[in-house]
Amino acid sequence: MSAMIESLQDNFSRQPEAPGGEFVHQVRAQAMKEFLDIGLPGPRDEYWKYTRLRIIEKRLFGLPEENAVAGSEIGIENLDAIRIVFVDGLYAPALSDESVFAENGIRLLADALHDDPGLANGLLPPPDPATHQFAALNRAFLGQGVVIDLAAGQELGRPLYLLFYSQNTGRDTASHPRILIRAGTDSKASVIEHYDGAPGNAGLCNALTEIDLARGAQLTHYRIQTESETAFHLGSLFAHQAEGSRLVSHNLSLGGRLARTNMQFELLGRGAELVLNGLYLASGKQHIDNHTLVNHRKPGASSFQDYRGIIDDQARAVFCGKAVVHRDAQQSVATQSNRNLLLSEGAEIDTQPVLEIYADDVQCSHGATIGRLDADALFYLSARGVPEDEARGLLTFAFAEDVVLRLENQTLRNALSKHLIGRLPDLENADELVAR
Amino acid sequence: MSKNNILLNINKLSVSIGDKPILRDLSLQVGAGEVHAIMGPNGSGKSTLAQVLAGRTGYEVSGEVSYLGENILDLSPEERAWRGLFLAFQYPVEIPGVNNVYLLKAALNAQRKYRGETPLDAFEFLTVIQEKMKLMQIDESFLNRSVNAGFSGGEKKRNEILQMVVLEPRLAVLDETDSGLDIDALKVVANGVNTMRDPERAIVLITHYQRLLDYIKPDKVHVLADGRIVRSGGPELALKLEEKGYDWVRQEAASA
Repeated sequence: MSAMIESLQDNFSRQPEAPGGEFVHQVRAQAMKEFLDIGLPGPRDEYWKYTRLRIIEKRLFGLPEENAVAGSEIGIENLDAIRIVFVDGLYAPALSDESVFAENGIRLLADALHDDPGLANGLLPPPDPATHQFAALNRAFLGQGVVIDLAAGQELGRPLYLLFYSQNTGRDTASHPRILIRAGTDSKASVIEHYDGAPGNAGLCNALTEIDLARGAQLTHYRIQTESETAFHLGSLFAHQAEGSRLVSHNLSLGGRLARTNMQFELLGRGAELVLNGLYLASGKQHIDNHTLVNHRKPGASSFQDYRGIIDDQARAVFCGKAVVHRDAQQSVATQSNRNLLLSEGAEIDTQPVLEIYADDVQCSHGATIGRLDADALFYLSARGVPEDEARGLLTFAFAEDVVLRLENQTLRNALSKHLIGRLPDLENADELVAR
Repeated sequence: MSKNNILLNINKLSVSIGDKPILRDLSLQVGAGEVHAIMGPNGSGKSTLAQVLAGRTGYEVSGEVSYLGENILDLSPEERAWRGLFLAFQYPVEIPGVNNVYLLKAALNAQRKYRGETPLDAFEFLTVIQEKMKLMQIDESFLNRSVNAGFSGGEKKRNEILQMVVLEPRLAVLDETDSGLDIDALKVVANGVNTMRDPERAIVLITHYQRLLDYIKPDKVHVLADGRIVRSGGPELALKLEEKGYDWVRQEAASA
């Protein structure tokens, strides 16, 4: 048994008592058993073909302790949002807008489980543990996170900002946040999940989000992962969409030594619309993997996916995007695009765009490109006197910024543009690029 | 024209891509203070000439191009730009994510740095650019828009000329800046170009149609056909071309 599994087992036996009593305790125990039965993905596991967990297997992760270090400076500044903060996976009341819990249908998971232990089973049918053992692991540590229940017709006036921050205390810990979003008929909200960490943090964050959109519900969901380049991140997101609902998912996977995100979307009603906007940036020794799966199960739904990646240095990225149009899903529209920019000889991308179509009256397209910078644009900039290095930096930024500009929230856009300027090569003194 | 006043001296320039010759032994002298028009049918090599002057790679080039007395064929595009050579692109490139103000300032400050001048800060730069934007009838919101992204054809061309009037080049080469412009936009563009006329500066207009020359009066007109300048003359040559078509010059050149 690997060191990682041993440490997780130890954590499991020592973790605080389950909120919600015996029922939740049983759910946890069952989930831990599922996780241990399946174990970590092995070399023959097709679903993990390009991502090996060897570098995590040897690690020990402890249980988190009370927040000692982080203050109100963490996270995205000046964001006009309801703010709920978790440090190393533990709710940090001093850093959060506590007043919010009285209204809006927003509760801490622990409180929600206390009221309704049945929530321990999640909002959606549990995913197959054979491919989603980390969702099972998350359930085994169920207790920390947020439940958002939007009543029919409710509009959340401000975005909800959920910050999951990992400190650098010199002790590596594992956290398992859970976010449940249940949006009633014609409700509307914007939820920002931000996974961030202090430089040097080498912990594990294993997050799980479930989204259930009722008829006509509209959700803009941001998943922003900017953890340290030494951290480990495993993220899962499952969403069900009823008739006429609309989900816009912005997934920016920028941090972590090794980061893997699985997202699965079920389009279950006519006119459901899904927009997937993604960006990954891997440099240094980072390994960043994004898996998405979209199931068109009913007629007349649309999905539009555009993921872009930039890979530099010795980094590696994986994109696997699959859209399945099932037999009953006539008049489906499914588009998928994955464009990648490789900035160095040592960088690597494995991309697999997959379309499976079992209906005959559909509009589908997909494509993946792996390329270098556009020669016409480079010439244009250099003909204006921009030195070659700077021109390359600008065009690389522009490639990523195109994704960032689709974010509806301007404060987020600016924060992410600045993050990109700090990360990408040859962009010294380029702050004015975001002077909007 | 005394030799001292020659800004651009192209001597027996031949350009090809692979085995395909595009320009053949082309020679042309442009003096300070002059406006030259280079006209020619599609495929005659006009745009290639513009691209080669600006430093585009990927061509096999022989002959000489001297600008301000210096052979520039070995210089990179940015080194040419720093020396005051400007190309207004026929197809300006869209760069979503990089705003106009950033590119303009980076371009201007790169030149200033080359000349040993201090870079302009954001405030000084804004002062410079506001006046030029008025001239080009461009709205201020334009500054924070991405370079050419989502611009109409006319906006792109106006943006090229705005860049020119901000950078104040010694030699400006305008590659089909008039194509795709309606008459109002054409007048704005021509006005921008005319304000640049200066005894120290030269402008080369590359165009397919005579129409632009109604608004920017050239000192000399050259006809480019099959990679060569087949005829040179004054503004009247452009009118004659308009009337008789390019075949007329070609036939004359062939029978000469």
